[in-house]
Amino acid sequence: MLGRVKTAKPEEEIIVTAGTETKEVLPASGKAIKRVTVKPTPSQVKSVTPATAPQEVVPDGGKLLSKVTVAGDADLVAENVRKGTDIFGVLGSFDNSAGAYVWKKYTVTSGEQTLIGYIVSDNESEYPDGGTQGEYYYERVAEEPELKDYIAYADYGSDGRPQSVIMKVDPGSVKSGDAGLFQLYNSSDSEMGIYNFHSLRKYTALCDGVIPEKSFAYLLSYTPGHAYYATVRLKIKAKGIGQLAFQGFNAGIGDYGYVWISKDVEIIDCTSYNNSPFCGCGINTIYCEAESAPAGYKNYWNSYTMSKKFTTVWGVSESDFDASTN
Amino acid sequence: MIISYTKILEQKYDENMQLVGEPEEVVITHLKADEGKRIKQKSTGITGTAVDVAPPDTVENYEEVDDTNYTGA
Repeated sequence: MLGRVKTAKPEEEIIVTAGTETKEVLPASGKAIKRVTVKPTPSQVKSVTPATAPQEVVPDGGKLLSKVTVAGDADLVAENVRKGTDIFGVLGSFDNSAGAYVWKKYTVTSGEQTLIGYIVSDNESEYPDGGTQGEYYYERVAEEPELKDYIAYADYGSDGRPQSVIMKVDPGSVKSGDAGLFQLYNSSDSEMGIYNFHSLRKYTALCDGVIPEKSFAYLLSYTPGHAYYATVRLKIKAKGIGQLAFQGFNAGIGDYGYVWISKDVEIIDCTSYNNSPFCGCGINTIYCEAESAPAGYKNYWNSYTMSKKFTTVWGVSESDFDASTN
Repeated sequence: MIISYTKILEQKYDENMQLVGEPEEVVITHLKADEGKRIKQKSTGITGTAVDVAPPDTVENYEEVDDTNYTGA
C-alpha cells in the first residue's frame, strides 16, 4: 500500500525584544518555530530637579526606568527658608520680616580700618547712611541677625509699669524696631524710641561689642502729660558706642537723667558735636568708670551742642553710681 | 586737689543753627583728686577721681573728701 509521506516544515529561530507591551510570536508562513529568544527591555536612568510644579518622570518609548535620581541641596534647611514657609517638609525659620540688614561701619585712616559701629538698614545693597566710601568702609554682616534676650523687665512700679529695664544688645544683631526699642536707620530715616515706658527709671544697655549708631536715640523721650518719673538712670556696658547712639536721651526732662559709662567702653565715636552719642541729652553730667578718657574717645564725644559739653566725672564705680542715683 | 584748665573756642548758634557772633572762649576746669582723696559732686554725692567741669557747671559744686569710707572700687 502506498502512502503519502508528510514533509516536515523548516524550522526557524526568532529573537524578540521584550519591550513594554504584550507581543505575540508567530512563525513565518510555512515555518515552524524552533526557538524564541527574548531579549530584555532596555532600561535607562533619569534625574529630576525639584521645581515649583509637580514633575512626571516617564521612560522614553520602549524603555524601562531602572533608576530615578532626585537632586538634593544642602541649603534646604530651616534656617534658609522663610519663617512660616514649608518646602518639601522643611519648615522655615528665617525671619527677616522687618527687612533690616546690619552693616559694620569702619573708619579708614591711612588705609587702616577701625570698626566704629553697626548700622541697620532696610536696604541690603546700598550703604545705609550715605557715608562716603573711602572715608568709611562698610561690610554687610553675613549672618542673619538674631536678637537675643534683648530685654528683661524687673522692678515694676506701683502703677504696674516697668521701672527698670536691662537691654542686651547683640552687636550686629539689631534688626528691627522690636517693641519700639531700637532706633532704625532706614530709607525714610524714621525714628523710633521708647515712648510708652513713662515710668521707667533705671535702664541698662548691655552689649558685647559696639552699641550701634542711633540705636537708642530719643530713648525715654519726654511725652507731655506723662512725666511720671523723677530720675532716670542709664548705664552703658559695651565695647563701644556709635554716633548718636543715645541722642536725645531723656530729652525734655532737664536735669533728671544720669549716665554712667563702664570702663569696658573703649570707643566712643563721633566726628562733630552734632553726632556725639549724647547730643541733645537731658543730663548735666556724664559719669565714667575709667580714670581718664581712653584714646578711643573721640573729640566732642561728650558734647551736648556746639556750645556746651557735659561735665564728666571720672573714676566712678558702678556701685557708687547706683547708690547715689537710686 | 590738682586744678588745671583747658581753653576751647566754641561757636554759638541760634535756634536755626545760624552762627551767632564770634567764637567764645570756654574754659574746662580739670580737677584731680590727691592720693587718698576723692572728689565729690555735692548735688548727688557721687565721687570720682577726677572731674572735667564744663560751664555752666562750676568747681564750687565739687569738694574733695577722704576716700576712707569709699567702698565702691
